[in-house]
Amino acid sequence: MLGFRQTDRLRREFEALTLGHLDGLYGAALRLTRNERDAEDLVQDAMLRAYRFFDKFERGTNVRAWLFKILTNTFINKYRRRVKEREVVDAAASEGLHPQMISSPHAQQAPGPEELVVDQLLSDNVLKAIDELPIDFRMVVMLADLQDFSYKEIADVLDCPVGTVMSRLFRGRRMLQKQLHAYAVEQGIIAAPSAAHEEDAKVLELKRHVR
Amino acid sequence: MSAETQSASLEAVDCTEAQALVGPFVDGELSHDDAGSLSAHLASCATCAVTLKRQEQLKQAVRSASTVTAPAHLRSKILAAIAAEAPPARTSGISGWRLSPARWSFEGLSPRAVAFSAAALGMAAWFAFGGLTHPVVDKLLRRSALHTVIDDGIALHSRTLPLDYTASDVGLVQHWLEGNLHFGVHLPRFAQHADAPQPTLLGVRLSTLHARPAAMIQYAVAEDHGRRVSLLVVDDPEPELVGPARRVEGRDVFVSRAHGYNVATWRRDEIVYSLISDLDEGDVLALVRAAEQR
Ligand SMILES: [Zn+2]
Repeated sequence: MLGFRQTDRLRREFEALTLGHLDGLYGAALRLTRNERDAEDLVQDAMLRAYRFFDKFERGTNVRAWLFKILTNTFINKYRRRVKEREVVDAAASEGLHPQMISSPHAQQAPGPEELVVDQLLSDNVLKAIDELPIDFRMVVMLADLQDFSYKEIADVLDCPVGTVMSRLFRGRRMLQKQLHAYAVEQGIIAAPSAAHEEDAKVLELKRHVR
Repeated sequence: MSAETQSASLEAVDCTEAQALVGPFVDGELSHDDAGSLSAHLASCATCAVTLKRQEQLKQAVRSASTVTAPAHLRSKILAAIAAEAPPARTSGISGWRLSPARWSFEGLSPRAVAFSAAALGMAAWFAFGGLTHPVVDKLLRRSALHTVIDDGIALHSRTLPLDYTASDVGLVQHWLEGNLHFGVHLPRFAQHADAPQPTLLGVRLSTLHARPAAMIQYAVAEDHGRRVSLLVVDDPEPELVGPARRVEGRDVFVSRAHGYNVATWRRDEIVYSLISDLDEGDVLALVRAAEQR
């Protein structure tokens, strides 16, 4: 058993290494659980687990990736069931989207009105769209875009090949685009199927101010 | 002049390949050569260049939308949990030590320093009536405290999150709030008014907005096709509410329209109240009047 002094030193070391990542962990937890209460619980659980396994952490390696691995594992094992029903629906809905991995680029990316939509939407739309992503896609988007992890780090965190990270990211972002585009149409920021998207951009700019 | 001939050493990529490379490029994952090949393609292909721009925007939007600060009390909760996790020798003197059952601890909150100043409302003269619609002012206010409250309030309102306490009786909810919040909330009893919608109390959800405890009180307006009204209550000594205001029952009420909702925000001492609804502006103001009438 560790003596008091040793325990104290260990605890201080742990705190010094990990507390700086709390905002990032909480931000990720918020997107995983989609509510503040569960997010707090999840972060606390993950931090406590990390502390319990701190002797397993190899000093000098990537502590942030290690913490996020614990966070995502904790989420999958413990919290995922809470939102299970919704995820089933999500998965079913996403089947329809199944973006072909780059089969016919021009058909998908002809400059349409969706091109510059993101700027016009407000951050709660973006959050809503992220939260609607099926969990596997949400995780990679969040790790890549919000946490700025490299593909290799994401692969380590999620225990999957880098190729899987890339294809999930590709598909996840495409779903996000589609969803944001749908919001923009819904809110009348852009007209549904439109021809001259430059005209749209102007109208849209006007609408935004005229509101 | 095609890009390929300019840089013979680089492998030329077609649109299909370019589309696959754009994401990794934005993520900083491409090798120097691949990035060069892609750049060469983008220089001569407007379609793929637009895809790149779109991806950059999306990445930026995801980042800025979901960047948050962990609530201050979470840090202290974690520190306490870790301390409690230490071996028995450490905790023998205080066995049975537990985390406080209260949802929030408030060590992190700053002392109330800034009082609300109603004098800072010079801009009010710009608008007799008509809401926050001037684009210039809208831009100026974009980052202000008021907009933060409004945006966060709308985000909460539009999500219909589960309630922590369900009751339709004002007294019961007021009592529950007193037990669960460290600040006093004045839960309105909407005075009966012929011209104001009559909201039915549904319950309350506790929340945090930028590390500050908040309560979201939910109402339904039955006679108006099941519309919802939320009253967001935040203990927020800091932000000065700035913008064109209306005088309602002796309070400065800031009326704003955003994301399809009408929002009326006002302050009572150090507590900010924000009424959010898809009811029209007149009805929202009537509700504020009914709420604040003494
Ligand atoms: Zn191209």
